Amino acid sequence: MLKSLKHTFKNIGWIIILILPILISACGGPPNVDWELAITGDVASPVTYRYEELAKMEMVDLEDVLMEKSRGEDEVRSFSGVLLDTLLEKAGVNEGFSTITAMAADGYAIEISLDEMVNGIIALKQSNEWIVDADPGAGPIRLVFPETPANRWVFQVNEIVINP
Amino acid sequence: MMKTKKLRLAIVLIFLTFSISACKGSWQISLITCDQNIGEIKQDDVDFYIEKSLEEIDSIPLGQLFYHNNFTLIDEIEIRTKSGEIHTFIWDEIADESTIAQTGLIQIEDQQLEPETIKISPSTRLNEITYGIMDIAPTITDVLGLPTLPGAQGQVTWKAQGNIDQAVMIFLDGLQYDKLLSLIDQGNLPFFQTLESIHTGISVYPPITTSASASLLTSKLPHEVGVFGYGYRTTESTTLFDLAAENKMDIIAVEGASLSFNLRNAETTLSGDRDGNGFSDDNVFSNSMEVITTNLPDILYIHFHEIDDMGHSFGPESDEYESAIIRVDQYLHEIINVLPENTMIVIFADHGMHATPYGGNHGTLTANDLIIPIIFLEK
Repeated sequence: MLKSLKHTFKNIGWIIILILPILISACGGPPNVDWELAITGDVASPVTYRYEELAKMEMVDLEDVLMEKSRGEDEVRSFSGVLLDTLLEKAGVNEGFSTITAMAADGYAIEISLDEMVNGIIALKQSNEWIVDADPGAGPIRLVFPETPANRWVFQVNEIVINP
Repeated sequence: MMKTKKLRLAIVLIFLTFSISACKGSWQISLITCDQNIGEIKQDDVDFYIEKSLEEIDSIPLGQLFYHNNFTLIDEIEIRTKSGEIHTFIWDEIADESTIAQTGLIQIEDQQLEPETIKISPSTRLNEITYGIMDIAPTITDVLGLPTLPGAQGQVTWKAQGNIDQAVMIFLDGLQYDKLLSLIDQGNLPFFQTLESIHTGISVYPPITTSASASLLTSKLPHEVGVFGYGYRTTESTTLFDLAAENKMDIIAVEGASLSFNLRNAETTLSGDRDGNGFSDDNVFSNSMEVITTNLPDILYIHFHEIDDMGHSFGPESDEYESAIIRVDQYLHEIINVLPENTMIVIFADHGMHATPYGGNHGTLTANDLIIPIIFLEK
């Protein structure tokens, strides 16, 4: 009887060991990523957010965003992240700025107009998965503008410059 | 006895493992031109480009493998299948819709073929090509007295008559060579009409801005500098701008609304649509004029984007595409008027454009996408 009980516990132990990684990944805590996003330019106080700070901020969900691509089929994806407006407000962006320039870690940069920025987010998740896992090589955060074709979005964004 | 059996089993297993791994990568397709076998498509090459793609794909454009075997402009291909059938295609009609999978199967539109050989008829337009995009950087280094770019594959194709103090590179994104000539013939481009020679140049594959920029700045093929296609935006290789900066030259880049490729060592200004008129080339023009009149550097790089934008949205036969070229013609006239004496000017495109049902695109191994204008001037 005791032997059978022991055997049962041993089996349960093995099952827990096997499903533990699945349970941990399902919990979905933010990954440990060394990344920073700076807000600079025409602002009252330039600010730099570490990845873990961004991951703790209130996030909004953008469901079924149409990704208009310059090549290939358009796609529909969902993203979650921090509203760009919130980050700009915290940095004390001066009213009446004309555009922003988003710069990426690989040297890419793009200037975005106010119209394009509507409802833009710094996305940390894609389809409920942290981007660092979902998009290898694309960096852990992505600037997403739901009203603008996807070729104007930015992977690996690490600085946003506010232009007067 | 048991030991001998185990040993035999182990030997058989090792042999089987080797046999299986040897089978992998064993298929190849012979490429034939003028009845001569001049290359092959191998599974390893297909695997390589699939692995390097930043997208999840299981096949790659057939054009990539032709370019890998040094083909550029092609008129026709004839595929002989393993079952002995022969299928002939006009290359331009299928270039955008032909892929090869890791299995060696070729998909052309909705047709699947298992090829044994592919006979390729190179295009007669190859005879027109005089310059390549990789010639631009070596020519600039030569004219400015800079050292040679390490490993440069391009040639010095132009010499200045007099002394040159600075170089101005004017990048016309997406300008299709044939469309340029046709607009000149129609008398719509007063500036281009004054030019003595517009060279027929060739870009690199894939003819897209990132790959072409990599080859423009390094004078090497894109895959040699780690730029394998869409999504690769920088290179570790020495660029023209690296070399100029090492030699104490200053470089300014005036870009459009976005910086397509990492221009390290250049002081870069983006020219988004800050005036809200829906165009960016007017801002590129005004920012360039400001640089020229106040702070002309040793190398000025000016990138007009709108021809490409209009080409994508409306196609290379559209009024919008033609109007963007006509506007740039006027900007070029004014820029060259204000440039000082002893300036070398090179005007070029990175790629062309072909029509699609939804507008236009580029990136295929076709004359429309690969042939580019290259113009050298001296003031």
